[in-house]
Amino acid sequence: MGKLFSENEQQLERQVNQRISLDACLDRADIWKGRRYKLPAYKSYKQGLKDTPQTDSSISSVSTGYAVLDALLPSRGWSASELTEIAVPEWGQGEMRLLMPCLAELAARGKRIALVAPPMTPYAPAMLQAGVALEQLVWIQTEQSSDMLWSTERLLRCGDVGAVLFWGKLNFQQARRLHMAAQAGGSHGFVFTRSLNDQSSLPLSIRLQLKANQSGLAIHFRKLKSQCGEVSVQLNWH
Amino acid sequence: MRRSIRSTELALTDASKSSRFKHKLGYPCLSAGITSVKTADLSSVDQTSLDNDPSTQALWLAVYLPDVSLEVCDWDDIGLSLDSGPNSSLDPGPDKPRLVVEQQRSQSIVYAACELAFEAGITAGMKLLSAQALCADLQICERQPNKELQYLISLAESLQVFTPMVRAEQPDAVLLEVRDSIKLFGGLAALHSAIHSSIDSSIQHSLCDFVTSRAKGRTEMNENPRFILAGAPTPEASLILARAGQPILITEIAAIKTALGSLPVSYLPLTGVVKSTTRSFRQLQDMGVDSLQDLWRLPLSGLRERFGDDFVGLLERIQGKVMDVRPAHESKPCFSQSLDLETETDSRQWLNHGCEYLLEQLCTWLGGISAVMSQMEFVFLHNDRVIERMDIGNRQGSAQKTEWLPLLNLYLERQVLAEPVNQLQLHSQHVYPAHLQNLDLFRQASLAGRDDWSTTLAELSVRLGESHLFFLDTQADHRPEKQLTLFSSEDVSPHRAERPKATSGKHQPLPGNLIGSRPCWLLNKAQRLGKLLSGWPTGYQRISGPERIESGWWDGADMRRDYYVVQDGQSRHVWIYRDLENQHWFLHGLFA
Repeated sequence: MGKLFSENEQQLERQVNQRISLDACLDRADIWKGRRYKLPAYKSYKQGLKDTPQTDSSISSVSTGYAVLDALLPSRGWSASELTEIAVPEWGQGEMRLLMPCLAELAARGKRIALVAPPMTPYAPAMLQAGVALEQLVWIQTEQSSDMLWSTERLLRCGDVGAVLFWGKLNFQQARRLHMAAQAGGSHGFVFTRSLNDQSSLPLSIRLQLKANQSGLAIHFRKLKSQCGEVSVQLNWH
Repeated sequence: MRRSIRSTELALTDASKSSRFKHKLGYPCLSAGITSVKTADLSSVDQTSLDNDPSTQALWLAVYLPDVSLEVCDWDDIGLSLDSGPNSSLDPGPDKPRLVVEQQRSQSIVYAACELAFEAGITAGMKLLSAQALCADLQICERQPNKELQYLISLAESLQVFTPMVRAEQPDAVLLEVRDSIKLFGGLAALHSAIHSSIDSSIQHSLCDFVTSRAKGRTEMNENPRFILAGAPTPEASLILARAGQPILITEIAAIKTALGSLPVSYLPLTGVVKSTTRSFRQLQDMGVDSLQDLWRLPLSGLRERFGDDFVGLLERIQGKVMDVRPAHESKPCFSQSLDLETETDSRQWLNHGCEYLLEQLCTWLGGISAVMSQMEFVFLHNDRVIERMDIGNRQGSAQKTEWLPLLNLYLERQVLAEPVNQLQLHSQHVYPAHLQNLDLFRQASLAGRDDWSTTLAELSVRLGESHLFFLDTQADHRPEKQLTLFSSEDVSPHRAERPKATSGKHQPLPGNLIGSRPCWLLNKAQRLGKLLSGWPTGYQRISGPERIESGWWDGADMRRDYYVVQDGQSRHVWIYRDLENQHWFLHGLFA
């Protein structure tokens, strides 16, 4: 009788063991995961956690690629499931250069990157130079703003998409919906606008304004979670 | 031994008596008890004997549809056109006896009769005049062998999910060879019941026009259509059993003689085997041969002398002494089906129903040929005039209705038809074998959900149209304009969700001299900077350059340019060049 019982127990244990899902396995730190999971990024993420214990570790983030910015942002990088508004007076201030390290990192992780209604033709050789794999890029160009917003929302919701770059103006409800979509999909949303003196309060966690200057790029945070008041940072290209 | 055989025979004789089943006799009065085989009977079949005995290599199931010729006729139209008498009302009514007639030697002979006609005394083989004498108020239709065959083939195709060896047996049956599928479906009993319910549902579907019956709310078509499913190790034996109305299953060759023994000889399929069927049957009767067991007892040599080689060959095929090789039905390589709507409509709800029905047919067909599809086309017609076409694509390829339905709904939501339609058509476009399909090993879980990349892409291209969705690629050319290539998802091979790696940017790199950096945005057309600027343009500060690009003399798009990276008046980094042909300056890109 005792033997029978132990057999049953073993069987039960085996069943429980079998039920561990693949995702759970992949989450384990001691399993090698191939080239999709880059070690440096992982290390820097770990490092960031170690240095700042107050960081919210539940939000995964991607390093901006610029130490000054990483130090300033609450999650030590562009945080996933968030919508970031980037305002520029005119296209070409350096807004893409600011995001390129993040996009390259996401592409290297096997995530897709979508450009929705960019103002000009995205130039593939430049993307390659920045280290963004072209296979991961998709460009959506439509005339109707409802289609653009729908596509952005759909893409943000998709789990395989790392970042969606959207050019256009949002109102409160639209920003809220896109934010929720980003949270559902765990992706990064970047909204580029040209409105400089927009005083409305969009439900976005980060709003920043860019202005190119002689030595590089001046970033002015008009709104930043965990920061009171407005902050400015200077990035030097060389 | 002898005793046990006797008892089986007795049981079978009883069964055949209780089902007054005669081939082509219209509706037989089948009691519910014998239309389905009890699973208890099947479970008693010894599985090991099925696996080990080499003599039972095959197991043929025959599906006999006694009413196929009645079912393929369009009775509504007949009722309206033929009834011109004063008694005929606008409602043809389901209560009139229905006959299918066939022309034989310039005479109309009753080919099949419905249950009501059978009750009135009309039987198959009767002359039409005699039938009309028995019952004045009849609905009569000419036999349509083509439609019958079509019907049988559609049933056979729906059964291809169980086994590849399926064929339509004219005039009224479908044959399946299921020996190899028994294990896959978890035993004979499970397979049998699965096939049974599949036939049940597919017969019901095809019998009542989906939309029509829903719209009219008719109930008489929804009654369970009849069919007999019988099985035996040889195709002929299973056909005889099914046509005799014996829904039983024999798994061993040795049992065939016993099981068929009590059946009358008239069930022998002699058409095409002997010269005159009626004369042969009379001959057999004169010899005192009434049932098949009488025939088994006779020596084959004598039978050969009387009836010829073909007759003996038939008997040998029945008993499995001779191999009976039959070709399987081959599906056509593409799917195309249309659905007539009862009335003209542009109501979304109706169209949804119709499209969903067609989609279900298509997915069943795909399942039968183990293929997946990456594109299909719906056509909306009004009296054969095309009103609207829509292509729905899913680059991943799928045979699942659950994956296609969201795409279909997404399209129909936005679809506004210019005019009402009365016919829908569905065509498959890119169909390929299922084993070519790419699935991610580690992402099975998310594939089931709606948030994976291929689904997203499919939805985007359905909503926006393929021409609004681009992928980037580079080309080995020195000229900046030609380095970029765009392709919409249409150009991507349906076999692969990814671009072919051979042409991707990594593997076919840009020219080696790409030292200078390239701008993120390229202007579609270079912008002229000022007028008549021949020296260094004012307000621009040089960062790097020049980079000379001189290429294209061979295709007419010749260029000689010096490119510079400069900072403009707003401190933006821009890409400008001087055309060495005319010394003018142009803005070509923004570094952003």
